[in-house]
Amino acid sequence: MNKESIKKHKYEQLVKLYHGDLFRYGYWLTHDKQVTEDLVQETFLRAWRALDQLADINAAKSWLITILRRENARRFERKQLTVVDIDDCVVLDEHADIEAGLENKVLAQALDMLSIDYKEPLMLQVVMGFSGDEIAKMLGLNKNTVMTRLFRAKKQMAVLMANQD
Amino acid sequence: MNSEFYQQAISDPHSQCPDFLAALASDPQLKAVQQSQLQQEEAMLALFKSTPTPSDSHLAAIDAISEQSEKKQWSVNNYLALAASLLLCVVSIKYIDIGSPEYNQQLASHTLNHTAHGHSYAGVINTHPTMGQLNVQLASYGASISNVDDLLWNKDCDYEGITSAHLVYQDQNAKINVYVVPDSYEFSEVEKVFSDDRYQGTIKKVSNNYLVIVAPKGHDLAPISQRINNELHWTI
Repeated sequence: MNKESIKKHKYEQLVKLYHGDLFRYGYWLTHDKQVTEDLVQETFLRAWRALDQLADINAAKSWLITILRRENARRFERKQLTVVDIDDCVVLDEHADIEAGLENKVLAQALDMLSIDYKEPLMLQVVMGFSGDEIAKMLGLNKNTVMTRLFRAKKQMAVLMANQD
Repeated sequence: MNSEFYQQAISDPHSQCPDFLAALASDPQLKAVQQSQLQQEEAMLALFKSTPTPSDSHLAAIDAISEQSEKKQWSVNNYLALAASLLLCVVSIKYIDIGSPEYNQQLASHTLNHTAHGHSYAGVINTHPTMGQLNVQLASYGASISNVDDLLWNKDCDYEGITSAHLVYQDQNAKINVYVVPDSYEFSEVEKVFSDDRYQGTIKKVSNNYLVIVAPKGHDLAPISQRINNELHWTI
């Protein structure tokens, strides 16, 4: 197997293993399917270009998440506002559509009400399965701060859900 | 209930720490808190799994990323296309004079221009980025940083067609511009040491990037270069 084939195989493994998680994570950051698709595509494009730098395949998941978070941040840097006629717009509330199909709408709403400082470590732990140490490394925080934010996030979730009942 | 274990039951209910497991076994109230938290997290996981599925065109585009690259590598047609493009470029440059590149192909010249361009604002508007912000920025360059003291400013710039991480340090009285430029840009000229009438700089190849340090002319580059070498780590 030549070098290029090995790289391609490695890339395909990453897509197979992590595309679903990345897409879900991206969606819960953006709440927009089209934006998420662009974000995930850009993430994999950058991952492909830099794949030779990924020495440890076990670190791939956090590496991909880091790229995705950075791409999401860049989205706001380069965002240009355009003016359109309001009458030409069809308003789509994708989130509402999804929520309608959810068993626990209250949970979704509570999650959306969390600040990003709390929501992000929570998603990284509960959905992506990262440990406190891994989240700390990804977010550039110390582990105690991460564990405190997780505790507060979950307490806030409980309060928000109780208030919505 | 022990408050430390109570916090752990909420923040990390899956913890396998022996002390925590022993506390769970001996404290039914703590166990109930942990179980309730686990249930909530299962519900959250189910919620996340219910996000919309990506479109077929998106999945095809993800797959095509490596396909396109492989075709570029091996397709005879692409070799022919490349040869034709090169021929056209040569003709254009020689006879038609429309051969301006998409980006500045001289790295030293680019960073000198970039530094002059940013002189009025880069590092003047004092942003003092945090280490977390910096490490997010540097991650896609395969780098991380362990100290942000004296770091005034950071941005991902797109200048003269080149995207690079641009950092500005305060070093004594001088502002030092540091660029991390991916080596995916093919430069016709990469000088290790360079200068113009205002600035001087160095270029070093590191990992899959060029590390470029630019300082005002006459400023001693050695200490800041040493510091950056020590504090900027190439992680992947």
